[in-house]
Amino acid sequence: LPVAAPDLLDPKSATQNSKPRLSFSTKPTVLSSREESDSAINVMKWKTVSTIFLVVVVYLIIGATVFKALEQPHETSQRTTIVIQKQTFVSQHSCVNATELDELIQQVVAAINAGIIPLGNTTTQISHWDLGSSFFFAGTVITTIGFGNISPRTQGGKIFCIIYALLGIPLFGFLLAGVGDQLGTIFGKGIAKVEDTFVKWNVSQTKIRIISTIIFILFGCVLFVALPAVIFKHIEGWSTLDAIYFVVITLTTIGFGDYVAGGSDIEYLDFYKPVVWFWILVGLAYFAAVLSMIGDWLRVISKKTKEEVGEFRAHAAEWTANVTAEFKETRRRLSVEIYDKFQRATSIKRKLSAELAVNHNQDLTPCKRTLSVNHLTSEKDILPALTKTDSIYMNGLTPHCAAEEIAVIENIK
Amino acid sequence: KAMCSGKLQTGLLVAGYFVYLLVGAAVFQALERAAEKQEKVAAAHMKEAFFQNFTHLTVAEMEQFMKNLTKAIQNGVYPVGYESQIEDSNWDFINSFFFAGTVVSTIGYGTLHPKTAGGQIFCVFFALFGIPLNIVFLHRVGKMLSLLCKKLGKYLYEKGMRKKKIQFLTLLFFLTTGILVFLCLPSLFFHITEGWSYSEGIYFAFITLSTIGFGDYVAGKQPGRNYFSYYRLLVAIWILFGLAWIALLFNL
Repeated sequence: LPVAAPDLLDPKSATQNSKPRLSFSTKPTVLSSREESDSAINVMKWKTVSTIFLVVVVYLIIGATVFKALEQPHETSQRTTIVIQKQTFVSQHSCVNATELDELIQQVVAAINAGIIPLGNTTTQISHWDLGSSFFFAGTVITTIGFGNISPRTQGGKIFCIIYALLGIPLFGFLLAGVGDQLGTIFGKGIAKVEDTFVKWNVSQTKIRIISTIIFILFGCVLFVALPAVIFKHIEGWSTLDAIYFVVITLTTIGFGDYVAGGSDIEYLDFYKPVVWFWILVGLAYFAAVLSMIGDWLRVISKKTKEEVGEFRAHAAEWTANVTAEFKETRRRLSVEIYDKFQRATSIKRKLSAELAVNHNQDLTPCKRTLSVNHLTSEKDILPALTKTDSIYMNGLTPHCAAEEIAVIENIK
Repeated sequence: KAMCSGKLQTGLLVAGYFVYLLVGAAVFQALERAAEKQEKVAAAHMKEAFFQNFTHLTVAEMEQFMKNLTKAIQNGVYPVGYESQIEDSNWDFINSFFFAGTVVSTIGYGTLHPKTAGGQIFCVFFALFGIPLNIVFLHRVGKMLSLLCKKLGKYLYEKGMRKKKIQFLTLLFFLTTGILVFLCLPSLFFHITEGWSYSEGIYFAFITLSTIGFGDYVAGKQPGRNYFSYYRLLVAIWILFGLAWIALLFNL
């Protein structure tokens, strides 16, 4: 059964329904089921979407505050440093005035934006568009990493870039799915042996799954994150944190471009860049699996929360139903008692009136009393029926009224 | 046998991938190399011209100053003028919010990126959890929008059209409206607000919505331009719906 893995690569992938299963979570979730466009389901979907939207917004707000707190101080110190440096420069070289310096700076900014570092002899710097670097660039386009340290500056380059991406991104998506599948099979074979030994030791299924997930994460981390990070640290001269940071930012396809393997003016070994590319390919498949696993967890958590909320709602509904039923019962008993009392009272009154020939007190209108007991429900339903019985009770008594009264009580929710 | 064909398929795909990259590399090189050379020469001239005007500057002093400048610019500072730059921070709340958005959507422009160790570590974890969250969200939105598509399809089906034709028409409809609304209209908008040409606007829109996000063009980031108050918010909404549209296209 080709089960659809969560659309991790969406919108970066073209395969829709039959993607290989890349994660090792408990049960496969079929995502692209064709549902009827029921209005009830629409409402439910709208609720889910807006809930998730709120969660995303809150997540972004949290991220924004943390980034701001972490980064702003550093930025402020950068700014003040460059201001001081400018002032020092101008004071040391009094022939240069501030405006001329600003003009120069604007030109420097333009050069840096074009990917040229204006240090030393710029004309002898290694080209960013030799075959190796262009290959690298083409890769950043179709993987959608898009470092941006190099980007097309000509009209033709941009147009070609768009067309190239339109075709290349789906192509890469297919490739990624295939590689992920192969990785999964290889890993699956290896883990099956481990799982067999665990089964022999009578370990429970869930424990086995957890263990295999942990092994998957550890193994992949060592192979695709830790090892490359060490290599980058050695060859590029980055710190450990910078290397790991580069690995994550690249393999999640965010690709800031602040660190780029093979992007500095260092003498690289010939096979360095191709190996980096192969690593990106396989690493992306691994990260796709990891991210889809995290997505599964999120889904499980949200499902569990939904279930729990659903259970809670069910409990609450049950409780409310019980309480209402009891209340109704009490009302019924009460009104029956009242009716009984009235029967007796009216029969006594009849005797009295027969003896005294006096009209009844118009206050005694049992229907109104039952109305007071039944405040909870909408008065609209009650009033028409009661006005009828009301008038009847005003005059005297008929056995109909009692039956109507009980009928009214029963009609009230 | 199935495994064999699977491996063969993957092998072919890998080969195809490399061929595609090679072709791309050759074309990009042909298109861009000459322009790059020109810009390098221009940068060299810029330095020479500056020297000629201010002859008592030594090379070492100049290089040192350039180094400082480059470092500042690569760190996102635009060191023109003195006072104004201090007020507009790149890491005020709105900009940080947008930055968080570029991480979670994996666009990752890179014009703004964390430089502190704490920021980098946080960024890693923020991405690891935020990206699946974002994908789940886009998936849901895409599904919702595809329901609309189905309603349209149902309506047409009741009018007596064949299924294949309906599928084709709905795909075409959403494709063309999407291209108009998310690519063409924004590029007109950016032409007015950013001063980019129409083709630059479309290039920016495409690079953003495909989440490639080079960062060579970023909306709302040009120094010295006055943007109206809710500009960045509008851009964010456009990106959100554009990504959802792409999610829809993949669901169809």
